[in-house]
Amino acid sequence: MDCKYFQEQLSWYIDGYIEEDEKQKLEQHLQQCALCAQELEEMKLALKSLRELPEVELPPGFRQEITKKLKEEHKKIYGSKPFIKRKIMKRHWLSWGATAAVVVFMLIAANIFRMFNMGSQSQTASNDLAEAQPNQEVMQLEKADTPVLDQEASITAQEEIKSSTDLAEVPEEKTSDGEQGTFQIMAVPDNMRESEAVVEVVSDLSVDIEVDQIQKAIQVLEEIVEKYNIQDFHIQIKGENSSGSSEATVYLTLPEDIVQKFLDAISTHYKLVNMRTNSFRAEDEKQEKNPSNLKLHLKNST
Amino acid sequence: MDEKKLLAKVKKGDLESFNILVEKYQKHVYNIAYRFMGSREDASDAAQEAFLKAYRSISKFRNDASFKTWLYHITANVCRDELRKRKNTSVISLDVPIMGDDGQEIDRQLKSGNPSPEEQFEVKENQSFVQEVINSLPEDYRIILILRELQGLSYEEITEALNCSMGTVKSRLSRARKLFKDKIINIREQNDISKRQVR
Repeated sequence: MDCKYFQEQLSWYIDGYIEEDEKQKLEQHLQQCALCAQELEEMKLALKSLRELPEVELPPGFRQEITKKLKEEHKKIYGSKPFIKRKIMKRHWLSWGATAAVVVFMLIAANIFRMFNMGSQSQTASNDLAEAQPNQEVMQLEKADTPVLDQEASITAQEEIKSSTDLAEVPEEKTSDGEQGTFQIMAVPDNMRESEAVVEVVSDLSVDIEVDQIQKAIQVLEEIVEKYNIQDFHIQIKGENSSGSSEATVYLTLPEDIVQKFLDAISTHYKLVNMRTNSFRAEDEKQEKNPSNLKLHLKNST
Repeated sequence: MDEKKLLAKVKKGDLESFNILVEKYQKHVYNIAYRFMGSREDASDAAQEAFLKAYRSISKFRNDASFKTWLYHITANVCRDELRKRKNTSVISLDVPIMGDDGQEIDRQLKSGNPSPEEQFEVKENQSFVQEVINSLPEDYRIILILRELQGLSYEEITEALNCSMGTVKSRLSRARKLFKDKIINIREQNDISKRQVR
């Protein structure tokens, strides 16, 4: 065996990736051959200079940039999240009169609803009154401090609502800034038509979510709720039977600035299919810090 | 949370879980890219592209594989692609003499103005010099040395990261080390000669 054969083995010998008998032969050769012994020493020295290269630090802003790019990538892959957008509104869906009528109707309906349920458990708001049928089986896991409807009514009264429930949603529509699938809440009074900019403040939001298993979905939601440290949270489960529940409604109140994040988190698990909202025109930016009431309606997709 | 659980979530579209993985590997990926590309700016772009590619193709990631080696594989490919795009730009080899305007050969090893031989020696011993030698190696040798010597991957991990057999890893690593060592020794010897000449 010549030196070339042994020298090829030096690299594996350094790493210990060599069979025992080959190792013995090599070591024997190294004792006799100064050239190969020198080759080994030089190799070790050279590799030392390589291994001593320091780890370089990340450049400033690297993390922020990658986070931003990943978010954009996420949107490209999964589409943007259906959530209210404060935007410049150039079109209208409901006239001011119709909007006002809906608000009045809601206030009346809310009061009637409360009268009928006086003394019963705390009831929660529903834009879809069918859900508030008295014959529904209600399992209230946790009671909200403030019934959503009360809060809704008070906001309605105080803030002189300019738009209301059942506002149109425009899913999958490409918006001016290029985001796709954003739900836009459009309700502009006559005197606001063609106005340059209206800031929408979301007070109540109702979202339908398609899930495969209600119980599993509730667990997922509970995890997310826990993550965002949301205290005001309760669940109603409808139609529970031996084969499991078919529907559930989750009510929660959370700071408005985390609503988007919260919905993003849910949308990584489930499809958000429908969205309705109460929103009002903000005269005062401080109103944006109001808590938002969310109603999540879980529906079995099968 | 363990990596497998995070990856399962990422596959369902959970960006936050992926961000945890970015946090864990960003420095390694950046360092691999830096040593491969030889510049911080290029490394930053390549590392970011590697993470984006990984996120984009996460559905292709096999659950039984190692995320680390899969990510390094992507990183190596991104770096190679980037260098390939620039193949028209001149690549200067340490071995090839460069001709000056007057037709005289310029020795790149002695390029640093007229510093003292001691200073020259120091310059050549420093990290940027080692980096220059890395840059002069063929891409396959460069990446295998980075993964083995700088990232400390095992031979088995390298087979995954480079998608090649154990035999290839062993022989390629052996050749890469020899070439690296020869270049270092060669330059050092040249340096010693120039030192003696000055004296």
